[in-house]
Amino acid sequence: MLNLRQRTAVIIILAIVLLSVIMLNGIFMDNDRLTVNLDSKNNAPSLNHLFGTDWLGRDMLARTLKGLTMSMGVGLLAAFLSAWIALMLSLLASLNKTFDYMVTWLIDLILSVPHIVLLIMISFAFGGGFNGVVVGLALTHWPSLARLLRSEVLQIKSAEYVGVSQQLGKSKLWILRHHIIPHLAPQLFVGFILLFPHVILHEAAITFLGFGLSTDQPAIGVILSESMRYLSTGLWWLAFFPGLSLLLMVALFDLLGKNIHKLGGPFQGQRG
Amino acid sequence: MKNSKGNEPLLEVKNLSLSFIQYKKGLRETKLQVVRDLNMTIHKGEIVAVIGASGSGKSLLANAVLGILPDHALLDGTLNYKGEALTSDRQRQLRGNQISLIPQSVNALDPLMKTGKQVQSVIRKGNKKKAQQSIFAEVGLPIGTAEKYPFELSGGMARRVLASTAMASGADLIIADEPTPGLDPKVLNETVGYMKQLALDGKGIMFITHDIETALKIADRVVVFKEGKTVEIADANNFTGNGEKLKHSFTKQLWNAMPQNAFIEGVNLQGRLPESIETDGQGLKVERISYHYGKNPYLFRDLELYVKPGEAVGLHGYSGSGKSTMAQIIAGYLKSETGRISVNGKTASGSKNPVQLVWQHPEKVINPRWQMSKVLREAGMTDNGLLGELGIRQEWLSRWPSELSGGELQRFCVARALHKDTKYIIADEMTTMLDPITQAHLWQTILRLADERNIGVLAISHDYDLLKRVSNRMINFNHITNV
Repeated sequence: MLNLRQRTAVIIILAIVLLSVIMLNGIFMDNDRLTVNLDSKNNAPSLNHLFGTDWLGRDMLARTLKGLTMSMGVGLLAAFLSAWIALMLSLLASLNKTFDYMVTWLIDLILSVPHIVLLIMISFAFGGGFNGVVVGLALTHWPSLARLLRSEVLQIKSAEYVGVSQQLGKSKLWILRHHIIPHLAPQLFVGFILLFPHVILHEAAITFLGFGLSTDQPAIGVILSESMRYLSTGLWWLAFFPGLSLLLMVALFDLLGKNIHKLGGPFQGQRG
Repeated sequence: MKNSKGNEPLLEVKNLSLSFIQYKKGLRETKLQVVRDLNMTIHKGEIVAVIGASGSGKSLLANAVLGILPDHALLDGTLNYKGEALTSDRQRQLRGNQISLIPQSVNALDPLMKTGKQVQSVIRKGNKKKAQQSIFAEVGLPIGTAEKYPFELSGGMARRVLASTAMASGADLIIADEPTPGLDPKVLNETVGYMKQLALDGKGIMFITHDIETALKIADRVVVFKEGKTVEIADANNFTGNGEKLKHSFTKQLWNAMPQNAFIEGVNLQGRLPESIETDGQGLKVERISYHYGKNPYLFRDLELYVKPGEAVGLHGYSGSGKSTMAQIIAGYLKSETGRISVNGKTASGSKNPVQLVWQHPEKVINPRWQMSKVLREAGMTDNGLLGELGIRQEWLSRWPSELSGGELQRFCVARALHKDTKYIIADEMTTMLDPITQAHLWQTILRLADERNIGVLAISHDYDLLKRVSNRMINFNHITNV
């Protein structure tokens, strides 16, 4: 019988293994499998083509894997940038009242604009494509994390042990490095992992709407968008499997984030 | 025992043990045993005091009886209430009904509900309002109190409201968890008086405290706790003289280490009274400081204080009077509205402060994410001799703060405050939460070092007997506040 910690660790390892299998498959896949093959178009799922084929005879499993890899790359990059922005702004807010006011204002501003609208505008302004999407995602996903981190910083700054540190003659930078950042690190890491599913779903959403990645790249959003046209003719597998895979990957990341959270905090996961 | 002949006990605890499931490094699961072999009985009309240092498992006992332990606690042994086993179902039925708790903190009152209503809410039958009014009259609360919110009450009044809640509930067993921390003698005597009254009414009371003196005042029997184990169950009147009637050596030590008794062997403060007044600007000088919170009246105004090098000054005052605020101002944590604080004529600048404060609650002033060795490194504390003298074991250095008790953590705080640039040390209720033995030990070290390094000590406490033991001269806080 495994104890709680061991169970948590097993879940984390399984999630990481599954995600890396998807990623490695997508990267090292033979591009032959993506080529057009008009002999076998519109095939329903079979042992040869587990996810079926599309109207040009391309294998949907290969396209889905490639698309997931693409999405994961975009997601990781954008989530990382977002978390970084959130950290920097929350530390900036800790300096004095004026900065705090400015950062809070910025957070409220971004949160008050409908997410998808802002995302489309930014990614459009940056010329669309891979770069536009990443910048757009990075610039719109930080506020909720920044708000969380800011309140954590405020709380720890008023902690008695930080006061003791000051009276022992430690500089602001020292306190930042030794008291504040170690306190934020777990929050930041979990925040980053939980941002990731958001980012991926939004990437798929704007690509689906036609403002994201270009149509020659097999991103999940592109696949879903194209397959809409064939759904009415009964080719259900074109949308079903890629959509389900996206959902599963997002769920995996969510699971990963929650379990790392459980394992990480000294006061978490003490319940038998 | 006098009240109990023939009666079955109200509460019976037999061979109780309690452990927590804990995670050490990585994935290993361990059991941490916090209470073992605990035995005690409470009869009707009897007050049983449970004494022991903070972290010895006293409050856990209360939680075990009430059935409010956290999920990862494992309980073993026998708990009987009126002769029947206390199952968790029965606990749920009984608590607040037949078993009632007087909590440690006045924060337990609902801040958004009028006090009269809070007391009425526990009364089950009859005219609730009348019952509440008669209880308030009994404990000496003015009639208007029922219409007030908790924040409008003083600490003493809030405590009386808490006591009324327990009285009103009609419970047969009352568990009082540290109901008297740092109270001034008047409020203390009142609170203790209600307890006695409750016992005379035929209720059983478990009185949990680390304040032996108060415990002895009202208890019939005293259960002495050490590291989660009962070491002795003694009659209260056995605590006399040099403790000759006490059986266990730990109980004797505990009794003798109290400031009223022998305290520290071989430390004679009378021998180190300061020599004639040195007036060449040496010393910690507090000039005309004032402070108040928000709309509240001034805690103190134009307060003046002077501590000479190598001198130990005792500052006596009760909880809520503003002593801690003053201590934080002198040590540089808060800014005074007026006046200045200087050491040898110089005001403190941004670097290491020569005035160091030791706080009442050590767990608040140590970063919970740091190992203890880092806490000492932060202060530049490398004097292994001093660590040894304070009783800090080498193996503690690799532990986390949550793995040490309050008394053990406080030793680290003292070590940290005594870094080599320290000229003055302010001890703000430093040992209030600790048992007498640890208290005596810590003061012994501080006083020896103060003597050796000519450090000035400002000891702040509500405990007059303690201050008398550790200081050269005494100041009454009320005499210097000017309000």
